[in-house]
Amino acid sequence: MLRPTLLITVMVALVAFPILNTPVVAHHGTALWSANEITLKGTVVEYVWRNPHALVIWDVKDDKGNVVQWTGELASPETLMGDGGMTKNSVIDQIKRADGTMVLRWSRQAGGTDEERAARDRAREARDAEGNKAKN
Amino acid sequence: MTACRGAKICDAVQELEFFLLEYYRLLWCGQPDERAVEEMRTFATFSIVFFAALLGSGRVELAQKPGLEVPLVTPGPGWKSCPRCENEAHVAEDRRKANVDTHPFDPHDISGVWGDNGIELDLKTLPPFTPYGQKLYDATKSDSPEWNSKDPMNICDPLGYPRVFAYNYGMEFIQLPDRALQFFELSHTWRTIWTDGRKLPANPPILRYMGYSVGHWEGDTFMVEANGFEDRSWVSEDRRGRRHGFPHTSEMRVVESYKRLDYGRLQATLTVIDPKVYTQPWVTTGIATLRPNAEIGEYMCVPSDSIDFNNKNTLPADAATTK
Repeated sequence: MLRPTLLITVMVALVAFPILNTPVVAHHGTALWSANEITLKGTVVEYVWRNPHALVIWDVKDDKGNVVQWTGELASPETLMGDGGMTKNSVIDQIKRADGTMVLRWSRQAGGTDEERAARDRAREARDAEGNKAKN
Repeated sequence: MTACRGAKICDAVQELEFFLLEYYRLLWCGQPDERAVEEMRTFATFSIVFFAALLGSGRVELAQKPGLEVPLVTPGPGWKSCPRCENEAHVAEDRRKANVDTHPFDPHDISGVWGDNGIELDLKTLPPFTPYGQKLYDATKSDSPEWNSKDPMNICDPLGYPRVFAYNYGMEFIQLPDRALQFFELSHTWRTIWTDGRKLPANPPILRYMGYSVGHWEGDTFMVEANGFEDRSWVSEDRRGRRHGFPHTSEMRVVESYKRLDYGRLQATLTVIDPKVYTQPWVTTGIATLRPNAEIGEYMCVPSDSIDFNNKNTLPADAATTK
């Protein structure tokens, strides 16, 4: 049987490994990834066991009580099977045993509100435009 | 550098940070902005602390590599794991049990499941681009700093050859009397190499993502030649920053040789010849290892799943598509 902490550990490891072991992540760059270790307790709202990467999406309440949605990107199901001995159902069982509440570390923030995400994107674009201007 | 907990780690972090910043300048030909500096600093800190943990303490749970204690997941008795569905410890155990180093072998039999990924194209031997090749390469530049927005893989367009040689999650060679098949786990696709004496088409009537391929034996080496490639695929993604892909034209030719060094190792040499893009042939040599207890599974690239993934986890909110 998997120990209760193993799932989380493997998730942390498997989310971390792709950054260090680039051959497995050809379809996205590293800029998306948060490099800060984060611990978040929240409620799992969606779980996707599919290629190219399994995803866990969960709601976390911030200091003000607002719900912020986070996306945890795991390895592909094949790698989760190999490195974690996981199957689709074993992960569902883990989530159920925890009453849908999971403490996950290490992920990137996909969410925030749409406005927050759009603001981040605008800021990034502005920075990029500024950079291009400087180069020209 | 608040994350530093020891002088040696601090030094290592600073050294790696310096290296990353130099790398950034080289790749993007400019000064990194504040955000990039911060990202590289945190990445450097994390990497060094992580590796220090890996090296330094068996008590750090994160540092433990998955081993034989992880149950092997198979569909049931008589079924085997897919190449990537086994961790390294299980692979080593399978190879030990199969006596791969001493097992007798027929040099003309290259059948079997090889590797759990392809052989990356060698960046050390990457020739200079022609001016036209440079133009094609520049055109593959990502529109987004966050991922390679132009990678055909994003929406499951075919990887084509030789990209699927370089990146395949495992490849099975199947030898038939008149042809050899390469069965690739990634995209669950195959390539036919005809060995019945036919020649490559002088004027391919239609371009193919996997090309037209013929093969023959020269001594103990299986030689393969291919042409007629669809030019919308990439030779490979450029792993230096992941902002470009290596292009080719429809006039690309690919020459390969495969030699079984022993029961457990297959040496492959792949040469990309495309004078319109590359000023010299681009040669890559590598070794694929036999996976005696694995069988090809079904890693499909499913367009609807990939689009869903892109929307959920890759694209900014205002760029996500609902298609």
